[in-house]
Amino acid sequence: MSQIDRQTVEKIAGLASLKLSEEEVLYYQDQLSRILDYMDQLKAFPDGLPATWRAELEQAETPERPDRAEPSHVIEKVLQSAPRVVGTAFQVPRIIE
Amino acid sequence: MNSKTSHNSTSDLGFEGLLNRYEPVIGLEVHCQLKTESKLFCACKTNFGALANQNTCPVCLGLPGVLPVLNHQAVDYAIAMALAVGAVIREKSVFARKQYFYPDLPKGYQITQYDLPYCEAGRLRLDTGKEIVIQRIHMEEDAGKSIHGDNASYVDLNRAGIPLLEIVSAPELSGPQEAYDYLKKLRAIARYLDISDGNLEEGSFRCDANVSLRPLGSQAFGVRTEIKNLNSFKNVERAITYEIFRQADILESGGLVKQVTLLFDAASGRTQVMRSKEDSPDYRYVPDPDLGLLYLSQERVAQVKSRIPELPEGKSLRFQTEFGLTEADARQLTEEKELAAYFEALVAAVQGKVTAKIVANWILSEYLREHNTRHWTWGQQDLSVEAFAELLGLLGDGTISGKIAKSVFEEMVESGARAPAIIHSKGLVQITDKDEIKAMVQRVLEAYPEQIEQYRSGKHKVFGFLVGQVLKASQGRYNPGLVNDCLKEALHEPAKKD
Amino acid sequence: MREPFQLPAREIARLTMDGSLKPEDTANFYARRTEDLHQVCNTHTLWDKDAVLNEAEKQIDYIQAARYAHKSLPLAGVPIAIKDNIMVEGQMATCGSRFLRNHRSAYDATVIQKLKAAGAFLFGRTNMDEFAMGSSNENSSYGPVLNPWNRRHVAGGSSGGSAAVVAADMVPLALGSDTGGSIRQPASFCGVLGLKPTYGAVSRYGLIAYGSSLDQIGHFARRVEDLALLFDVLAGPDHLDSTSHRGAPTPTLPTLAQGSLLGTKIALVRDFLGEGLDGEVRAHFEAAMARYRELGAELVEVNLPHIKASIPVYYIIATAEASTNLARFDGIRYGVRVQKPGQNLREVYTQSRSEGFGREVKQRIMLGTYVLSAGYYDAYYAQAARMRELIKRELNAVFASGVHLIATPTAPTTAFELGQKTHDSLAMYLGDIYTIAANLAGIPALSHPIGFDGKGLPIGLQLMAPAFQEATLLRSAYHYEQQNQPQFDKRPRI
Repeated sequence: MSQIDRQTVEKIAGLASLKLSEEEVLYYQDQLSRILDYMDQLKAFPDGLPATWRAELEQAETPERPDRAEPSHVIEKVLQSAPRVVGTAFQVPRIIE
Repeated sequence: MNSKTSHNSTSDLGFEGLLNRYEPVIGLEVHCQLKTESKLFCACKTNFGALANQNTCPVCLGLPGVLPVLNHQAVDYAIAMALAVGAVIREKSVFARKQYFYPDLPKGYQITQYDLPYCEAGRLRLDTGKEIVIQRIHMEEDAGKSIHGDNASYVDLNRAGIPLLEIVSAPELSGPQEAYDYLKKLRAIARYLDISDGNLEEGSFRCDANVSLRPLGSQAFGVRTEIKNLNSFKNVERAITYEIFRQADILESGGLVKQVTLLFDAASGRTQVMRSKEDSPDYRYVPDPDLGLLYLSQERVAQVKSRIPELPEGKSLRFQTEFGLTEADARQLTEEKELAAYFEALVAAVQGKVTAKIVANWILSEYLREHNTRHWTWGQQDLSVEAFAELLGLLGDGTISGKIAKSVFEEMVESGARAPAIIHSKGLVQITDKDEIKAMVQRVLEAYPEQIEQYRSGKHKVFGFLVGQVLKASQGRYNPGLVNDCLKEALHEPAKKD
Repeated sequence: MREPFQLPAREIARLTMDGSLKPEDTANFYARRTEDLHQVCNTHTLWDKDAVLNEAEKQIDYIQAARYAHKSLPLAGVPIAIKDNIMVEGQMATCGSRFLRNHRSAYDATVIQKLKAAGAFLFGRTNMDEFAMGSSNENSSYGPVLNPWNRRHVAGGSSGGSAAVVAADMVPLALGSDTGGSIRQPASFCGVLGLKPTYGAVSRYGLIAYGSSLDQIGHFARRVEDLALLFDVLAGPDHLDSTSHRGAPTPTLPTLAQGSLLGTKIALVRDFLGEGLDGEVRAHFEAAMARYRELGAELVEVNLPHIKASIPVYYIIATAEASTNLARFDGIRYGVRVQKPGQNLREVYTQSRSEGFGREVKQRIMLGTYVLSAGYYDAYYAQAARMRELIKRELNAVFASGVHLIATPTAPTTAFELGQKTHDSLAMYLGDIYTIAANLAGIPALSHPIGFDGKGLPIGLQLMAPAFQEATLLRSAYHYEQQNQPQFDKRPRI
């Protein structure tokens, strides 16, 4: 039984940059717990694959493109509709290092 | 060791003292920007200094619905670097998403490589002969830049998506000097391969240092701190030195070093904790489903290998055997491949009129001085090989003395005129008329009777002074060798008054 | 002059090219119809009749030029509705989300470029479950899409709007996207055809990503020939999509009517025909399979022991990929930013996202974040990836044994009532049981109508084929359709 505790919900929300209300924390705690319990049935399935098998190594080779620069003028449209722009840069609250 | 640190050590341990008690353990992480025409996963330009966000497109802006496509040239450059450091190339490697939120990271994740990087286990040999293991190199995309104002920050994504190689050394460097040397050599390789500008100040070659101390003799690693974004070779040395002292102080007073991330403040010479860093963030790496395998076949690697030029280490050894240069000179000459090429071209051009050793001396002293003070670049040819070879030829055949040659050199550089013209216009041809020299020697000896006594009573140092006086009187035009001979003859003449 | 109403798309294109049908008449007709009907079932996130007709004007010029040049445009004058997660330059793309409610696309998806080049009219933005996460179209910030057959029932999701517009004849064709069944299930619920192509057959460039290794753009139609027609236009390699298949696609339209079902081996999945399947759906499914047999198909039963793991495997992989795909929605470059004076960066992120994302989206982001987080990656994500491979191998083994198609009901039930499953995510997820496998294995699958239940709600049958065998898939469905036209032709009363 993979009971998700409150602290975990809050931690995950933090990682995902989400702010949850009190009801949401409780709601998600319940839903996620039930879903994860259901997911745990995966453990019941025998895996017949060799231990070293990795999905990502089974893919096809990624295609490559020639090293040529091509201009895109999309930025003009993007800057026009971006939330906050100063000059040609996106403005955000002061980043603190 | 550099003792000009602004560090204020409370324990009064000098650097020597420190090294008697602690062993510094340093690892370097270098981010090397590749000088491709376009970005790693899109066709945007990569030129430095463009107007903010001018070099962007849907892909590197992280607009909804976009997908990455890998740059062929970037892969070739990556292979070249791996070969140059003798790393083991993995035939199949994987791109992964490294996730965190930051304004200069438009997708909310960086495409990088995680547990299956494209190569591992390379080596770099330092001047001392010590070999540093390069644990791994992987490919990744650069993030954008933020410029900070008073109340806001401004995000420029021109740099987002530029290809990087992350080169991670084993923690085997034992001090700031070794770190400096390692860095210089790595940079030289990148520039020789022509895969990167290797410019720390401009940010095309960035260095983070991991520093820890452990008691001398101990095998266990101490707590390490990370100093980020060191932007000059000098600052790398200074920062590491400061940090070693700082940690030693803590340990000496019985404290524990905290695992923090630091920035180096060049003005004060101190490292400072970065405020917003959490301890080991959870990057939730996952293989990128939008990309397939990075497949590096043996054929491809062989192709890249065939295009790799002679590298600094090999060239330096060759200069020692082929030209009889010292190790120190050969190293200096091969630091930049353009300098090495210039040297070799000049040796060929002088056609044996002076030895390669002399050519080397001239380049390392006279030429480099002008090159650096006048901020020459290799692109604009400042002093042609022909003109330089011409001058050295005139030195070699005795037309001018070494001292005169130096002043002619300065005049050439200043005015752009060629050596023969300068020599003739200033009447600088070397004088080899023995009679004339003898006469001058006499006149000088008559002016300095005391020195003669001193010489004869055994103070041979005064000989140099007398030679200098003769040369001075001739404005450097007398052949120094002949002056030497004549003066010796004159001083050892048996005609002495009792 | 023929009215374009209820003409197959293929016919519209043909008549437009030969001049018998004026594209402006087609555009006006369908625009009026959509204008009259779109609010009834809430099928659109954006319907602007004037804007649509304005854009159509440009296409009309293009079509005329093509006609003069004797260049055939396969979709000349065909109105096609676009699911609101596909980028059309200059048009809004909200993904059904508040976060993107003011977001205008800055570029065209590759499929959109193809539609334009083929002479089609882009007809509005259809309603969908937010960020394609849902199986009922009740997760849209624009309100649920109502089933045209019974407006107290869901249309299915996530491409509910696209399914409904085709069911209601507001357009002959509509684009959708399918990650775990999001085309097939609404097709089944709305009584129309829906196709999910082989993974990589159609470019994903310009599709707002949900589960990158599962997503495909697909489409809805009333006739199999139209399903084939549009597939042939959309399929093909794209240098902008590294996962797109590099080989040239096999055209499906030319061979559509060839041959027969004689000798076609169709497998039924024993594991799917037990508990959980609604009785009426089962009955219709069995009847439909009997008709396949009458047409010459050979039916076999197969066991797929790992198929039951489909749902956990899917929800782990899809949500993991979604959690990273949605990280770009931070309010900095586009979308709605919520920023009050004096707030710091972190607050801007969390507020914008929390206010912009709906409940289901947040849930899946958190689930995905959890399964990728330190300490859980191996147990969940890595394990799911391995299970996925087993499911894929099992399906491929079935095909390798000589089976041409696998048939299942598309969904275990017909369209359920609005609100019936909204408070039980797991119950909602379980409805995807039959469709998910095709996404996990990357194989093509379609849903076609096979009748109606006692309440008059449509029932669908799913066919799956080996990778890149859309031609076989569509041909088989075509032969069935030819002999069972009434099931395909019935229309909802709106």
